Amino acid sequence: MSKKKLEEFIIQLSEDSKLKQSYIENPMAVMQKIGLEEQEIKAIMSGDKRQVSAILGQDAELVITGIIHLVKK
Amino acid sequence: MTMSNTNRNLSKEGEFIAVSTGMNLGGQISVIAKDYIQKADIVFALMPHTLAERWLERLNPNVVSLQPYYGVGKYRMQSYEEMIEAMMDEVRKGTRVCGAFYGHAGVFACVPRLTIDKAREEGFRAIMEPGISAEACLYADIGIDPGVHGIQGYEASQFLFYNQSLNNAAYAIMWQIGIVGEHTATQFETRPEWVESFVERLEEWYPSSHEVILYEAAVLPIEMPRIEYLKLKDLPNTEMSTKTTLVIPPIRNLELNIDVLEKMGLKPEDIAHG
Repeated sequence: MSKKKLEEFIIQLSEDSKLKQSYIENPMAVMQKIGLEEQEIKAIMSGDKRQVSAILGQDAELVITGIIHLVKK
Repeated sequence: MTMSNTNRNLSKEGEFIAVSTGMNLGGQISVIAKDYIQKADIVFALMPHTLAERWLERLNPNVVSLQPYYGVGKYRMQSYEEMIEAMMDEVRKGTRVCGAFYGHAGVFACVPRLTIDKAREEGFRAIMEPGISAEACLYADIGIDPGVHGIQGYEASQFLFYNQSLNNAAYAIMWQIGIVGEHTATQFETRPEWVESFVERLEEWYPSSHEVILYEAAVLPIEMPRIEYLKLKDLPNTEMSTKTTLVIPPIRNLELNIDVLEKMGLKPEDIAHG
């Protein structure tokens, strides 16, 4: 259930300017107030994208490339 | 040819709308792009992470990820063809198909453009809605204004393989530096020796000690963008991914073209700045 809360928080953070400002000023306090788990907060605070992917349940970074040099002329 | 002209006299049921979702979940999508997603019968998605796919599902429960069409060792043009056909199969059924692509659907993304071309060829309405690309984020995050020095941009491997040229009085942006030299279209990483070849090529315009920037836009609001300053010669030993972009600042000042000024009857002091 916490994972859903984490997803909800991240999505809201992308759309809510007031929440975003609070997060920039004191991310730990905002995440604790919302009720994220300690390990989730720790992963996010680490800034390590692999740890964040792990807590979001993403096996690996998805692939996005445009291969312009091989697109037929 | 305008967008309205290209879609004129198309009477077939079914349509393909390519929308751009921006880089960072719901905060960067346009109002109209969001509306297209919400009103589509089916949404095909190419997103940077699964959380973005789940965010899309909040807008429209009928989301199909295009990510499974990619595969390490699989020729990417084959992946692209399969993505296009999957979306066109739905268009041909007469449904309203939305393709949601992260960043800008028309920038470093051939699938949306090729699908639009195909849909129009077959008589269906097809358009693209623009969005916030990595380039747009780069200007905001690093603080570069393309109007000050000028900007030139290349796909890094294309620049390496072809006889392109650089103006070192302007910024240069090398997209997809993290897969530079990857020539098979089946892998998603580069090799140090390929990066070395790329650096050697750049040394035709810059000293190896020139300071460059590695940039990665944030794709989650909990992330900070990557803005890493390093010397050009250190590039082969630096970690990069498919999202990494190389920014090369200018190394010399702009020079006035005296011949043009004389033809126009102007002197250097006549040129206003600011």
